[in-house]
Amino acid sequence: MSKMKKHFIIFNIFLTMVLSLCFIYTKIQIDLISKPVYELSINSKRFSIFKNGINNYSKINDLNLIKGLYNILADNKILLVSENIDNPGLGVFDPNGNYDFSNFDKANYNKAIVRKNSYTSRIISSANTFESIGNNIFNVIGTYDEEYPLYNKDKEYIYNFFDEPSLNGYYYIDHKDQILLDQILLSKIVPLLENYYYIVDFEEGFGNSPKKIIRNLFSNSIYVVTIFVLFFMYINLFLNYIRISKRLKKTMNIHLMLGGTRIKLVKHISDSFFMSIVLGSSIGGLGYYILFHRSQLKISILLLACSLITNVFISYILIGSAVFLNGNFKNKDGDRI
Amino acid sequence: MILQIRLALKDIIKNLPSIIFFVTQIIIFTIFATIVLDGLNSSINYNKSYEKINKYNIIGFKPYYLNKDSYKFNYELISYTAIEKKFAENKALSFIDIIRIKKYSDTKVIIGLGMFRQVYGFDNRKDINVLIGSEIKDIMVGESFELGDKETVKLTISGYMKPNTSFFRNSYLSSLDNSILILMSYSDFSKLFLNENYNSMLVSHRKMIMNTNLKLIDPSFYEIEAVIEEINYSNEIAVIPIDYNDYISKVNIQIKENTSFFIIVIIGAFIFISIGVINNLLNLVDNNFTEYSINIMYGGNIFEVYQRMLFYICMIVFPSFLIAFNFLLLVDITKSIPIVLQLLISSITSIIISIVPFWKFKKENMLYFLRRNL
Repeated sequence: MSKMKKHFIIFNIFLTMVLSLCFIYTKIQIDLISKPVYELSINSKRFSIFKNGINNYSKINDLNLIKGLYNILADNKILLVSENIDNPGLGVFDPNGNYDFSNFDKANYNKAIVRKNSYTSRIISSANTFESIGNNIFNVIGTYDEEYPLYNKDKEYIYNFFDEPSLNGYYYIDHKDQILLDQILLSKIVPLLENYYYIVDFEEGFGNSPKKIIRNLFSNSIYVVTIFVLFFMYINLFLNYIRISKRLKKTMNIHLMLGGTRIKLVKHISDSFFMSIVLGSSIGGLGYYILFHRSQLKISILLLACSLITNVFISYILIGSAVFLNGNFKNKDGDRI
Repeated sequence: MILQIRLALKDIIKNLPSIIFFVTQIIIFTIFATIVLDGLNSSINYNKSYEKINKYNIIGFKPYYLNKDSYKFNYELISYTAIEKKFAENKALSFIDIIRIKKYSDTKVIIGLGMFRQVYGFDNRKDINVLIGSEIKDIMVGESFELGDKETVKLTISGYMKPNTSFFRNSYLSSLDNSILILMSYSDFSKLFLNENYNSMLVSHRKMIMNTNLKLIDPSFYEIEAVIEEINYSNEIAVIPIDYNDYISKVNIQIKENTSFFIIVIIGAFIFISIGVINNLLNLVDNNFTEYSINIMYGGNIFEVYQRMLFYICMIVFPSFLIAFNFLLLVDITKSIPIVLQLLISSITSIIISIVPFWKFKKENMLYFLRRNL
């Protein structure tokens, strides 16, 4: 029995570690789907804009396009965040003043806030200005760090998008009225961009409906493979429990002959292994915590407890089922007792 | 032996559902494990290259392409004094990959400039050195070829690079296994290729060396500013300096974390699948013990019983491995695995697994299994 308990401990160490990995990976994926970046609302949309490849670039066309885009956004008070790839700054158009001290609308032009410890923060002149790559002079009105909602480690500063618009890149737009936002995006912004030879590519929107989360999770091949592996691990564990519980067959038969019932046997034997399952799961959970506590895969205590409880529950059910299947004693005449 | 194969087939038919289950999971596991091991190999290579460059304090430049009506700049007018000064001091490195050698026109050529040779640990020489990748079979050490545009020079291949030799392009690692690497100083490159009379190649070369791939070693803040000013003056591209060591370090950590995620999953899966397959075999042995015992009592020997177990496990392992390996080859995930190697891996695995039930069989008392069981 003690040898069997050792097996149970070892199995559950590995299972809890893999289960914790699955839990944290699921959480990361759910966060990506349901929590928009830059503290945007769940209504926000993300899309990319790229030149369509035909050599038809014209500065006048782009100026008309920018003017048209500004009118649409300003008229409807739509927030825009631009991660354009041709500019080291994060372009923001914030007509409602959603972010502290940004207030990047047309009335507040050529002002920027600079990321602390960035290269730009080192080249600010004595007049508190810096020259952008587009040769515009920006007045620095503040600095920000990781705590600021618009923080992006790849961007040097945040500025009003329309002070130095460059279109190629990734965009977020947001408005409190989702229907209006969809309508404006599809009927005004996209036709405008396409009219000026830009390709707009939509990405999956944010949302926290279970259907959306499940669809997104299972479209991720890494996630699907991991779930498969975990599934196979539990099946193998179950087969192993069946084999282990066969060693107790004689003891179970004696109990059954002397009036014991299958349910009582299941409960008695499963209970005797319960502490081994708990111990193995705890060691596995602790091992995971130590191994990953400084990485991006670090797990919160709550999530660790969830994976631990889930593993204990599944293991307990599996050992119970294995004992139940083996607790089937027949007498000489083939009648089940 | 034919009898043992027939008996093993009988065992297979008896356990068909569980065998299908094991074959399926071994196929999935093998595919997954091969991909993870490939990732582990890349992660180790990335870390090795990171450790090499991390001995130096490197500043890189992130380029931004400006929207312009037309390309008005003229490279003849642009001075690269600050950058050339850093190359002259041997405090800069860059590479160029758009040049081909006429004699080996199908082979990729990388020209590593300036400190490239020291930073990646190739050599400390001052002259031009030519090395070939470990996977190049049709070019030999000692062969000579001509190189140059403005002037030409005759070069001789001096040696092979170690397998998995790589260098960083931006943040990802580029393998040199199938390339010819030419290491030279910037002044040698200028003599051979940078023709002062304006031509399109000169523009391409300078763009690559100065604007896209340039790295500086231990530059002062003023040197960085001077270099940025020179690059930005081209009027086509603007750059922002980045701490290259920090940049690569972050990617390295990310790769390590991803790899450890898969390694844990794969180790867990390996343990449980091994236990599952061995348990299946032990169950088979348990169920067949009486049969084996009678077999031996009537003149059979233990080796025949072992053969039967071996054939049984071969029928699980061989199809699983062969399907998995050939699927990986079909979808181009791995390089070619010779059929002999596939058969060898399958055979070794089968022999190792079959020892476990055989060892148990030898331990048990056969008479015990001949008693009447309730």
